[in-house]
Amino acid sequence: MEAIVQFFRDYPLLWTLVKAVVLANFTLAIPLAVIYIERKVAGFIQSRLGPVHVGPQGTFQTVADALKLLLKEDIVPAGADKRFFYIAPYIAFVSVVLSFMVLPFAPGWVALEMNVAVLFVIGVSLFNVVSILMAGWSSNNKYSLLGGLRAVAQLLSYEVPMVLSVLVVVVYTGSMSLTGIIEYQVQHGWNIMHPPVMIAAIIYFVCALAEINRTPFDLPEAESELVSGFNTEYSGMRFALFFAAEFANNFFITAFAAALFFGGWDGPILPPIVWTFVKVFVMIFVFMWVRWTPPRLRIDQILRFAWQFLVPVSLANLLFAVALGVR
Amino acid sequence: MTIHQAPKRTKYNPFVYFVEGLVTLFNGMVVTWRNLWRPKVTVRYPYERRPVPPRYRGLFYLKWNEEKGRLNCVGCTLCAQACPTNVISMVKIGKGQNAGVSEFTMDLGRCLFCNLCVEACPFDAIYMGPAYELASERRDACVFRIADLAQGGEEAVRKNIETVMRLMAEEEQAKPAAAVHAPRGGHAE
Repeated sequence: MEAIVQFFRDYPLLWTLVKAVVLANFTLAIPLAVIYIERKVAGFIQSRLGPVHVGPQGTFQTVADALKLLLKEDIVPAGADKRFFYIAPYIAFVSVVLSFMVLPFAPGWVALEMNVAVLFVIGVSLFNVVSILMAGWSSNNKYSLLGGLRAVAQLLSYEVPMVLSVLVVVVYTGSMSLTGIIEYQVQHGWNIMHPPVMIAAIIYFVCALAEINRTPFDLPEAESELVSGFNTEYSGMRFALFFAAEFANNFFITAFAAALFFGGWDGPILPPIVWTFVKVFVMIFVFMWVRWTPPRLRIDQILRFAWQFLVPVSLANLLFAVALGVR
Repeated sequence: MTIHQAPKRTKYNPFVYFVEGLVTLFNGMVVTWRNLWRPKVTVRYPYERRPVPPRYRGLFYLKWNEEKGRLNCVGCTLCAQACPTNVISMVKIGKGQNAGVSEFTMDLGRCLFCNLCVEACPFDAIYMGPAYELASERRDACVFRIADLAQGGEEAVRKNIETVMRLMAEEEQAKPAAAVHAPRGGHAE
């Protein structure tokens, strides 16, 4: 094993390729677990059982679903802008893989050590918006277009307070590298202990919900209004890719929060990688819990909430953080 | 006379809005959290089933009379006449009080499960039972013969015919020898 790893390490290009393959497959595999948990939690909250048939406790249900989607016909609607229609799901997926690239799972377990990782993540995750707009616009379907436009309006508004709340952490730790931020927390205690970061974490949580289109903010794919939103016309593998990207993004946004606010891999007794996953899945559970509780907001309520409340509060919070914790 | 006025609209205050939102969200999340741990209502149907209610209208059965050793049915066709969709057809054997059926066919593809045949029967012969999975991929699987319907199956049908024949023979023997039937349809000159 060691010899194999050493062999790849001797050839940096090969080593990069290995990391890319591992990350891409991880990004494809993680949604299977997250979707399974989502369906179980949804079932339990509604006094159902969730999937139980395929495999022990239905664990292979999502695998079976993914296989089914891969085998299905790939339909392109008449009048669709084919180039954009084809390429949109890949952009969505690639944007998530790119974000995973700079995410440290454990000490040394990071595909690309980047000193501006936070900035990189924020930049790359905006590709998701592009892909949603492309999908909505190219589908030649009014529901898709409405979903896409709503997605852009919503994601762009919530990106602002999200970035401002992430900035609070950067101000506190004096680093933009995710590894640096986590190592700071290992030494000085978790960031969430500081009041401004606490506020920032709450704002981040709300924005994250909006960012991954989950229920109080799931306007881009509001089933009761827009059929399925921007991915209405997608079928088969492309739909699966959108779905995978969404749930991988769900995983990533919680992992990012764990790194920023909850000390990443930091924790007693258990190995670091386990701590990362524990924190991530607890937060994913909270996301699901929220998803099955409040009803959907209206588009004007959502935008008003973002611009009139979250942006000023996060700006004030940033000032507060600078005043308190500048180093 | 008082004029009802709409309640004064308070000015939109984002902070009040936010706090109210948090409180209602918290209340809702308590509800869903409790629901998470409540017993599940799902019945995993093919593996487990609900008990069938006692008066459930499922598959018909012809009642077996253990005392007499035969089916209760005497082939009077009252059920067939009561049926709005002509589900029932039968072959009668014998006549009079001891008559019975040798064949009793129900085409459940037409059946409404309306219970009229059961209500029409004066002999307690036909009932609706608790069996319910009657769907099939073939049309002729909807036709239920006497062996499918009788309580006790093939064996009961065979015994039923035997008993009815025996009863008929006994009746014949008990009659005075003089009373021979005239040939049917002919006038006795």
